[in-house]
Amino acid sequence: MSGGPLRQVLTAVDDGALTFDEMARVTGLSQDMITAALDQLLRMGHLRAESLNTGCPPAGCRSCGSAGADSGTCSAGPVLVGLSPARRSH
Amino acid sequence: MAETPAFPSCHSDAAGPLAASGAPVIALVGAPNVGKSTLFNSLTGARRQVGNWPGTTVEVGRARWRVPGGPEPQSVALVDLPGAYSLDAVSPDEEFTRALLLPADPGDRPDVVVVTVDASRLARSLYLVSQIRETAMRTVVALTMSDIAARREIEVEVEALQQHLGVPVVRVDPRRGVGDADLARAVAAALSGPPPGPRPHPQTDDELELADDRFTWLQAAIDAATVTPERETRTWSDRIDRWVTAPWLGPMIFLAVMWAVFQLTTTAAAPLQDALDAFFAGPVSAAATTVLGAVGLAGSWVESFVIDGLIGGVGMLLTFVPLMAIMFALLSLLEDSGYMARAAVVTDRTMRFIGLPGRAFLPLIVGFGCNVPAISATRVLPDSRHRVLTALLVPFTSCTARLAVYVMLAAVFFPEHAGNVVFAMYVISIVFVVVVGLALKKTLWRTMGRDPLLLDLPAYQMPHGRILAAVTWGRLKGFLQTASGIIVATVAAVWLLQSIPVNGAGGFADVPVEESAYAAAAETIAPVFAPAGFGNWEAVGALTVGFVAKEAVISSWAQTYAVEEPEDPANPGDLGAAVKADFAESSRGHTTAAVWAFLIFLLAYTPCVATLATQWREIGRRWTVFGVAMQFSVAWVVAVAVFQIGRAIS
Repeated sequence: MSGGPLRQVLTAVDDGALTFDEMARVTGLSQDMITAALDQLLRMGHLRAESLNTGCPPAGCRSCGSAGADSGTCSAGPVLVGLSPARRSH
Repeated sequence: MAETPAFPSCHSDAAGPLAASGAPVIALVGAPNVGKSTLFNSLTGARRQVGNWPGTTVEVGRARWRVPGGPEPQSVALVDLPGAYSLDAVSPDEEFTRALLLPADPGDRPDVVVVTVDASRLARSLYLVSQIRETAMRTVVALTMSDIAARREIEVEVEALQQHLGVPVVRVDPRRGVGDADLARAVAAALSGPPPGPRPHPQTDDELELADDRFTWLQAAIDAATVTPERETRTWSDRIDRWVTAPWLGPMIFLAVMWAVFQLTTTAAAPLQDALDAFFAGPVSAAATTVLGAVGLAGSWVESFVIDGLIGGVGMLLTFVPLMAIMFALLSLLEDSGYMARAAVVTDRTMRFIGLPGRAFLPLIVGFGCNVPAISATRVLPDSRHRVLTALLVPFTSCTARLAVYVMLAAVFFPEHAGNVVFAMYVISIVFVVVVGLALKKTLWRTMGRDPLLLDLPAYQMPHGRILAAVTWGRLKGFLQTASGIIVATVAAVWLLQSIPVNGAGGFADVPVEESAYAAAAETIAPVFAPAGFGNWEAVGALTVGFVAKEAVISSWAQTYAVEEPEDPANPGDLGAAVKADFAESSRGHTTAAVWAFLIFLLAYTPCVATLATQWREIGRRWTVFGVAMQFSVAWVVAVAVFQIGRAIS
């Protein structure tokens, strides 16, 4: 993979590496380097991150078996962090 | 050398020894949480003064520090600047640090910069060093956290590191005071020596190129100065993830896990369901009849409504409570353990295959619980075309409301393989999402771009009993609230329609159901479904009611057959047998094919009115109408195909 660690990580995200582990395999970089590179790309605005919760919103519908189910418990399970390229100037 | 006032002093009310005016200024910088303030306290004997810098709200510590200087130690002013990952100011703290380190007049710079670097996380700490080294500032690196690095089997060679960085590196342990004297000597040497030459770097305005150059430089420093284990230490979470997120094995494991969930659910819930069914059909109905008889309502429309409507309809639905409880508990177990986050990785790949952005997996996964919040969740998609496409696919995800109908029909028609049938419905649901998604992508949105996603997978954990119980109860409560709300209203509406006579047969609440307005309306629509093998008014009536909410399918069936066979003393509550007989009749003996066609139609047509209302709000009237027509068309075509092929084969 060409370029320095930042470009490698950016390319890996763009190519669909889904997890840190997968990204480490693709780039050959250490987890620490990948974390640092992702942080830097976030700070520079090349990536954006957001927490994604897989539970129903507290104000969920009232029309089915899952209605309002996760009220107050949404944060109980694992939270996913989604990162996606904000722009592709590389 | 800069005078202390040129590097302005901070306001402070705290007492403590400060360096004399004109004393050299040493700036202590570093990323947050690298031990910078601990080092500051260790070097200055904790005589720290903290205050806001003039004109800012930024807190800065400042104190006198004695370093070697000829025959007598000299006093310098040590200034503890706010934590900063880099000099690219993105916060007030970093802006402040940048302003003090790189003022417009180079003469106002501190005399020496001590950069605190975490040995256990060099990549995160050295970026600041790389930027400072682009200037000609006298710099000393204080290497902290070596003990943590050692625990992680990371060995940092100080000589190699300082050779690559081009500035002195001193290993310190401020919690034990180790290395303080070495650091003081290094700073004194830096003060008396010439400043180092700046690190060569590209002269460009491209921020990414500059940053990448710094990362390349620090990667080379790390490679030269650290010895790490052959392979990075892999946790057992990492080891499991290698299997459960693998491209081909991952989906297989996901399907196997879900199959186990449905098997366990249907197997464990069956005896409890039978017991509850007997309870509602027996003691509850008998008690209600007795009470109503005692108050003089025996044989009245009130008795009909309570026994056939409420107890027959809602009671039947309540028999599914154990099933829902087991299912919700198992799904909560998967969520709390961390497995569901891995399932998201597997699902994400499917999303990419369809051409949807990775984050579309979120609404689709939520859709397997309930379609309404799932459609609301499409707001996470920044592209409006992605939102529309995902909102059109969400109704094909099989929500828990449909689960009760699957289970009932599976138990009636395929009692030996109920779990497999329910599992198959979920697989078919995924197939619908993929195929319809691909079809829409190929026809309506050929130019949709990609929007990749990276998931930070949390470590697996032992599920917490309290959380499992809370989540399971929360979801079960939602199911029960639905049963007591919209389902009661639907039951009342169905009862009313079944009580209105048409063709002059009988009176209100005293009419054979096949002569009621309900049956007449359903009869009108029924021929549409004859090619699918379930063109009888009982099934079509249930599907029509299911348009309001899928839970109402079972309650309306229960009402229909309870009304139809009230005088069957042998088996008054045998809903399954009655449904079986009608399917056999409508399909002319090809019952299995007709049931599969019915199940698939039930899966694919409009989930409920609440979903429509949400679609309307999120993607507008035009796409909602398109979605309803598309779902009905897909559901009908596939149901007819399944029945016709099934009939031909059998």
